[in-house]
Amino acid sequence: MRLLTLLVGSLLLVVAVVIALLLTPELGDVGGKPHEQFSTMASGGSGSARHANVLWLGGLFGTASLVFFVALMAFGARKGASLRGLGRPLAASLVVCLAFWVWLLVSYAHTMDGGAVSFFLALPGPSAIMLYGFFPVTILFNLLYVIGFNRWILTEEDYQEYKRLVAERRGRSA
Amino acid sequence: MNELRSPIILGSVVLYMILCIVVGLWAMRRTRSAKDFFMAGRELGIMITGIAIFSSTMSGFGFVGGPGLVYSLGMSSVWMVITVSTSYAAADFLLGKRLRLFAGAFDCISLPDAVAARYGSEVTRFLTAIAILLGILGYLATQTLAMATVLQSILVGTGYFPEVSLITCVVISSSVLVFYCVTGGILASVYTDMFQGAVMVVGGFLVFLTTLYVFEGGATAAVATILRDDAEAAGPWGTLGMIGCLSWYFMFTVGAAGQPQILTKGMMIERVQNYRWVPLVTVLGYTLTALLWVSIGLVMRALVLSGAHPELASADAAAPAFLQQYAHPVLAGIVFAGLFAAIMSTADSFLNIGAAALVHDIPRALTGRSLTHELFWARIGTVAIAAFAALFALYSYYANARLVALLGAFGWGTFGAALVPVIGIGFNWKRATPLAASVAIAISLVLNFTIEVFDIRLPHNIHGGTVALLASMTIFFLISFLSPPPVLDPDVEALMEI
Repeated sequence: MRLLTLLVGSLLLVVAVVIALLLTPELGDVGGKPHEQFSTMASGGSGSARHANVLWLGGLFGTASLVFFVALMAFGARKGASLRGLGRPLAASLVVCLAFWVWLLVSYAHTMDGGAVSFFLALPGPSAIMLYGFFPVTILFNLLYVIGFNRWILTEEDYQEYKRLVAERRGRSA
Repeated sequence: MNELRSPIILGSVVLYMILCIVVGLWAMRRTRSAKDFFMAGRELGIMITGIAIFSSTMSGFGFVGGPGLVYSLGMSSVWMVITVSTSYAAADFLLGKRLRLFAGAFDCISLPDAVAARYGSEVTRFLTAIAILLGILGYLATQTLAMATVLQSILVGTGYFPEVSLITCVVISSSVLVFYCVTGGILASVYTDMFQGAVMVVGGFLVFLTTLYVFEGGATAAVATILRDDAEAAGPWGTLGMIGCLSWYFMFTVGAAGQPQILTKGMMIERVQNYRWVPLVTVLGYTLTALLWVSIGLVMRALVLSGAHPELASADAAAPAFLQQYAHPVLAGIVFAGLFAAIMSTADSFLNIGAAALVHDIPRALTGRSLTHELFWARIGTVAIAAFAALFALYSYYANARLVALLGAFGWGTFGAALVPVIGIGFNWKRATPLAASVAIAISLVLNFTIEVFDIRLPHNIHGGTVALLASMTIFFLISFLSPPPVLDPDVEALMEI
């Protein structure tokens, strides 16, 4: 029941944030504008002008989305009301992802007014955090699935229970 | 070597098509029943399942539209790429094991089959099949048009066929696709996916290495050029903006648990325990292939901005222009074959899933039983859907260019909004009711169609599919909570407890 509450609660939080965003007035070139010189390109214009009033809501949107993703994973992995020990690794992975998410936001907030940008592996700081930091840590969830499959997803007892159920079904239909 | 560029590209594509036909003939001898045709006999191994999943996700859009989006919008579409980890994780945790258990216990040969078993409702099966058919028509027409357009540009480029028409190219490419799909069913599809995936990974990685040396000063200089022109384009949200990117991130992550081309492949794995390793193959394969998506787009934008390359005729020309002018001819041949592979591996999955909905699920939902000679009708259904998609693609191309683009863009959001609540949540929650499932599908279709058909732009570039997905999930929970608890088949209840 607690997992269902977390799942529905985080879904409603995402819904609330999206409704708030839909009601928030757009400033500047929110979705970009045509490039002044090249018609096949768009340009973003001023980051602070278009994101000033939605940066915190965007931060909340990303946070609520990440919590909802993890709630979905936990909901799919649970057996009855139990996560069989998966809860802590999932929560720890979520915390790491949220840390990188906040780092990305802070880094972007510092550069969106035209602040100095440092490069890392060919990308400016905030984009580097997104591609080389945030993305790789989200792979933790895939690794949890692979590493803990026999412990958290399908144990030997689960499989034996399944085989018994299938055998019973076949017996009944024979 | 450069003078041989066109013949090498054409030769690679022809060789690839011949391989598809050979696989189709090989698979035909192993396809003896509808279960073989739609579920590959439920005998797939780890590698083939993983590769089939990622290669059917990475369509021609990833090879042509993806670089085009990066060229046009900067870093925005990278948010679609990095969902690979969270989207597969969400889908795997929710359904990787569960759907395979249902498929084995109830002998399901399609996704709507599993839905009917879970909910004990033929109405829900029918609506699921309809949502799948609507979704795949757009996808298939887009892929058909993409295959023909690429083939036409290759044939014209050789100089041997300067007048070849688009209709001729639709006929040639669709014939190859239909041949191996009809003869070998999903077995041919997944085995062609195997080498299609390999070609995509090798091509994607080699192109990425090439892009590092094309721009004078390297990749850092290329991105610095983009940054000097427009800092937002090189920033984490690109030109689309933060909220638009996050709405993509949400829809592509959650929506994965409603994509039939992904879920159906998971139902085909031989041993459910083997599903453990599938995420490794899918995430790694997709990530390597997506290197092409990001790197070509950035480099072509920088080349045009710096004046080293003339402006492209359209954003979608980014990948073809790069391959024609900057890639080694052999690499260009591999990637053009990879492009065909990406398009065909998506198209063959949808063709098979659509045929199952048409000849297996809809008749079962309406009459309560399967067609006699189901394998025969499955082959007829495959031809019929491919022919319809080809005609639809051509009609759209000549009469209404917006139609195919509209339905193509509509696909992921349609599947996500219609099927995530019903399958992703419903297979893990006993309280979910058939009424909630049916209403969620109907609401999602109406919302998606309304937003797309009337071209409604939402504030802050929030994607319409995200709103439809949120609405369908909320309504699904609401109706389920308000309805009396459903009475479940004891076997369904037991399966949901595993």
